Amino acid sequence: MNTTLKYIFLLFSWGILATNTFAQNSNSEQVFVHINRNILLSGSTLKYTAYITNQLDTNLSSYTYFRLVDIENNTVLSWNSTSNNQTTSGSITIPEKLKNGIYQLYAYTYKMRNYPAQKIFNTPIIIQRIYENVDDTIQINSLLTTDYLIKQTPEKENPYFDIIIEQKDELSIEIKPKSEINHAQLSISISENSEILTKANYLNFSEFIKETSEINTPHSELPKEIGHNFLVGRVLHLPDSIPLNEKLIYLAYKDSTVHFKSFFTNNKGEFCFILDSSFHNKNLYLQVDDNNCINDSIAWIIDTKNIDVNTDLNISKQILSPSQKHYIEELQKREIINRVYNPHTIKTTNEQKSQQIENFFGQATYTAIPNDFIDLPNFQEICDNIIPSLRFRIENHKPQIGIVIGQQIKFNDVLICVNGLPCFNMNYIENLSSKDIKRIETFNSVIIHGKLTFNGVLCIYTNKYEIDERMFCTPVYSHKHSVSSNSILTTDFTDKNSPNILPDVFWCSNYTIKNKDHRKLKIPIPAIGTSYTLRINGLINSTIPFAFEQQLNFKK
Amino acid sequence: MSKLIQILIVVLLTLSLNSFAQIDLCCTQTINDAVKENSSAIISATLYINEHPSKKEQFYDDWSTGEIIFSNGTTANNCKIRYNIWKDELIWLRETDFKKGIVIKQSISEFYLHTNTPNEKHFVKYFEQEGLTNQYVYLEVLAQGKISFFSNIKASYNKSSDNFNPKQQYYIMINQQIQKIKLNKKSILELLSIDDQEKLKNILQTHHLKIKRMHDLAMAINILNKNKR
Repeated sequence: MNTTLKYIFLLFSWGILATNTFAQNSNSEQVFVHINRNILLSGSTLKYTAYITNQLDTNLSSYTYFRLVDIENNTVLSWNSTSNNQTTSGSITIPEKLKNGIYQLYAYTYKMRNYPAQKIFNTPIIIQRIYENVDDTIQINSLLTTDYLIKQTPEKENPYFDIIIEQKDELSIEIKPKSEINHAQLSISISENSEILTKANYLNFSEFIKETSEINTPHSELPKEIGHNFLVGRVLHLPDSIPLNEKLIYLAYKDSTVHFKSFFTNNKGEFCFILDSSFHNKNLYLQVDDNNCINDSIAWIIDTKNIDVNTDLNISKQILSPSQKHYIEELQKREIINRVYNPHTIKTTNEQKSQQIENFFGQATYTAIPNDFIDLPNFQEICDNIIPSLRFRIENHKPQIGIVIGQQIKFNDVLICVNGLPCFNMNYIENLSSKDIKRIETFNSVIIHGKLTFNGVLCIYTNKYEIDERMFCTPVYSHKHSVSSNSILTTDFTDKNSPNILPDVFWCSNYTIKNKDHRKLKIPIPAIGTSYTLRINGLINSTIPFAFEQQLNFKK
Repeated sequence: MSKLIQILIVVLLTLSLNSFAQIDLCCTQTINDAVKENSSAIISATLYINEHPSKKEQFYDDWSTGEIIFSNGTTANNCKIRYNIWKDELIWLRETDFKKGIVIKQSISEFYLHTNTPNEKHFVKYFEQEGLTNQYVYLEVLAQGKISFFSNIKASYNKSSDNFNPKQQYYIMINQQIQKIKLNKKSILELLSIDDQEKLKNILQTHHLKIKRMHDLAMAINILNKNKR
């Protein structure tokens, strides 16, 4: 009996210890998003400003991930955006392909991926196809019960600003700092009150940050993406799915100079590339360094940076009231009229800077333009006749290219790139003629790059300047690395002939207040509807979340 | 009773096993390793061969830890580097195999050396156009602000004596215009406005600084820049 009790005690302790071992209580990074409206038609624009904050840490992630998830927790739309001074703003057009229904918009950083789903910002959005009839019912799941939709009511009084609203011929809003505010970043929206998802509109920034400021994660902490983001994955050998370990992986994109990333996989076949902004919005190619082309059957598993959302679904149908259905139908008509007459233009300021990317290896030792010479049918002829710094030979029935370095000719560890991508298929290179090639550059010195050492580099740029699949003898993974840049959007009222008929009559994604300055916003009275809500969200002095709401009733 | 205990054990075992069930968020350790290695992973260099291995005078100082900031905005931190003042090249030591390389000059914007002296040494790349000479040179930043003060130390190799002889050249930059100067009053004051000339003279006098001494002049310009803010 005593032995049994000891055994039970040990197991029990082990159970408690296991539950708590990896629990980490961290003062957490959090994201909050202010959006223009909760009901969107296909083809209309979702505008957003996301705030990244941490009460104690000023070193914050630079990338925010957005996921639009349907009723069955499938991701239907995803994008990511760089931030600037803790905020990221932008817009996204709702695709036509999305079905009618309620979706959940999640926003998080890479570090937040292992937070419990309820600690990650999310807000419901209704999407209706503009040319389809409105259904009588709408599907919801257990995440979207009425209880979930009720949030804290917003604070009416705030210690930071006097917000003075006047309505005469136009609406005037003045935001005056009350106390010493060094810096405030705000986003402002005026949107029509709908009878649908009314409670969700009252999501309070300050309360959300307070509720989610302490996160107990059962897993180890993820690193932050500060100034760069991660491309992570695994490569496996098929069909046995054995990890390709200790293999060199290259990541590159098509360009007129050479700059790539390399990584040696670990014993699980894992790799991680750290991408700076020069890799944004490029088609990236992942390939294994395979000079002998033996790895002809491999699989790439790439981390899609999703989050685990609550899987407890319980899908049910909720009946829309006649007024709710009528509201959506009217919204469709207003949207169509708006598109026909194309009223306000949205001023967009993109903060993307153009980047001049240097060639990794500096100035080429030798550059040749094959078109300057007679037509040569293959690369061996090209090497023999017009490139003195290269040698071509066939060794064990395989073509090899050597580079002259000093008094020696090196055939091993020569890096060959085509249109910016490393190329290991010598049969492809061998068949290139001078008609195919625009430019050849050679770097005739031993080059050390990171962990790698090359006995010279040969760069070939073709006339077609495209990525030919024949370049690769091993399966390559191609990935469009899309990153939205921070875009500042403001509604523009310069066109006074077009009425303001959309439910989101005003949107300003980035309203900055420094010291005690204040300005007046002047907004035309909306042509349709009487009941609107003014929402102001933001961060004060980079750490204090701020939320303000006020109902606006326009007299007609 | 024993059956009850058995059931309890099974329940506890299941509970504890489930506590280990984790969302397999790929590769946290791999990411951490990549972040650590990222600094050196972005450095490109051509293999360096020291022609005079016994001569330390060809270098600015001994090997030190430093940062290299590249033209594309990326930074390599905590790398082992050494500035060769004979060839005006930055040498990088790859610590995994102790191979040395000359960092590709076109890719560098500036670098820092954390030498034994209290302050770190800051160097920027400058494109020198003088007569037929068009080349990148590294300038040591001695003072930076509205008036910046730089020096460039060049070592020449004397075959007959098998020695390196250093020679220092100085530059002042005002309003993005850079000029070579000598360390004398005339050369420096003529570049400044009348107001700044008086201020500099006062600073030199008040702090007992000599214009002919590089560090004194650097200190004086730093004070002048501070007062201008």
